[in-house]
Amino acid sequence: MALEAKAQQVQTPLLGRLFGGLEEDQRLVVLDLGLAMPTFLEAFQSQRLRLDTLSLYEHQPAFSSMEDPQAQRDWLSHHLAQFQLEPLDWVCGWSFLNYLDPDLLTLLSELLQPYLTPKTRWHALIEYSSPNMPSCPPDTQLTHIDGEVYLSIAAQPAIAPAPRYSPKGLESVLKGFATESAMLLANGWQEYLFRPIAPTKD
Amino acid sequence: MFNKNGSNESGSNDQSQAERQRTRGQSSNAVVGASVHVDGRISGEEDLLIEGKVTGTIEFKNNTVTVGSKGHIMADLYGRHLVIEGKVEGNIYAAEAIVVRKSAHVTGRLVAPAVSLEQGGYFSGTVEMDSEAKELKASFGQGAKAPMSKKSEGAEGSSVAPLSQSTKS
Repeated sequence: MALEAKAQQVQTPLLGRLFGGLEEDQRLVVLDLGLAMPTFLEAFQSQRLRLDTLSLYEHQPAFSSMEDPQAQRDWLSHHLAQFQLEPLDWVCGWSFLNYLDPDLLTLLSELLQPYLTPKTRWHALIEYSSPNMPSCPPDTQLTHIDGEVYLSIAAQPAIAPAPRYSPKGLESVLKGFATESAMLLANGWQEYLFRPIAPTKD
Repeated sequence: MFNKNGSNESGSNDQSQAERQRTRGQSSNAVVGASVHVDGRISGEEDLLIEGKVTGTIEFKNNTVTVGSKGHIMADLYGRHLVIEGKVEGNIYAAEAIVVRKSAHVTGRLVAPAVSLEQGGYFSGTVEMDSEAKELKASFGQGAKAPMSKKSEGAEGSSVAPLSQSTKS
């Protein structure tokens, strides 16, 4: 697939670690906080995969329009219930994680607790070096080159302030998760792997 | 790899599956025309092109079903090979493969041994890409299977290698 001409391609070692840890016949259960990515599905054409796409950025206005925390909880609980989630292997929050309301992320991390296992890992990418980011989440595509995993991120003008979460900052947002690894990427983004502190599933 | 075949079949040029079916004049294809609205269950044993609106259940378990760019279904859809170019809300089950084209807007659940999504195609929901999925066995018995090419072809022509290759390289 042709990648966008102006896209930044950056190696993501922690995501590569996740891919490298898969067994050939493993059925992988992935929760993507965004929309389905063509190249993500392509990568699993020889693997058994369940992929749930929450489209949280798209639904965020509905969340933000509610002032009552209980109404927000009910709304997100109902949204999640529609997916009939299974115990999760991966949670993926890539370029759009910068754009999600921290309260929404905190509530999500709480509601995901019943679906976490000791093996669950939350993979996140955050704009880190630059104080600014594009006004909306850039398109992100997955690429394998020589056994390594890269993300290709569409280039857009950086005009909005970036949250630039530190590992501790993200931990305070993602309740119940602790930083396992963090790496500064060549494009100035920070790549994170989080693990659940007290998973409820074996 | 399935989606490579899918691309060769239809993705590399601009002519959609629906257009090809129309221009071929395939007499064996059933067509739900753009002005048709079906509310209920339709089933059959021939390939089907939907350009109209269907609400309910569509069962063409041994055949290819194409939801054309003008098609809009709010239904559970069963087919051997499913190509989505239009709007779909519902659960979609394919014994072999589902292709979501760039013009498609799909919300719901996709269950098949192989699923591909073209760049620009919208999908929100759940993808179950697993020939062992319970729903496939219940719907198709042992008829659900991964395309032969899925295991045997490499990543040539694709930006992403299948995992069985990438993890071993």
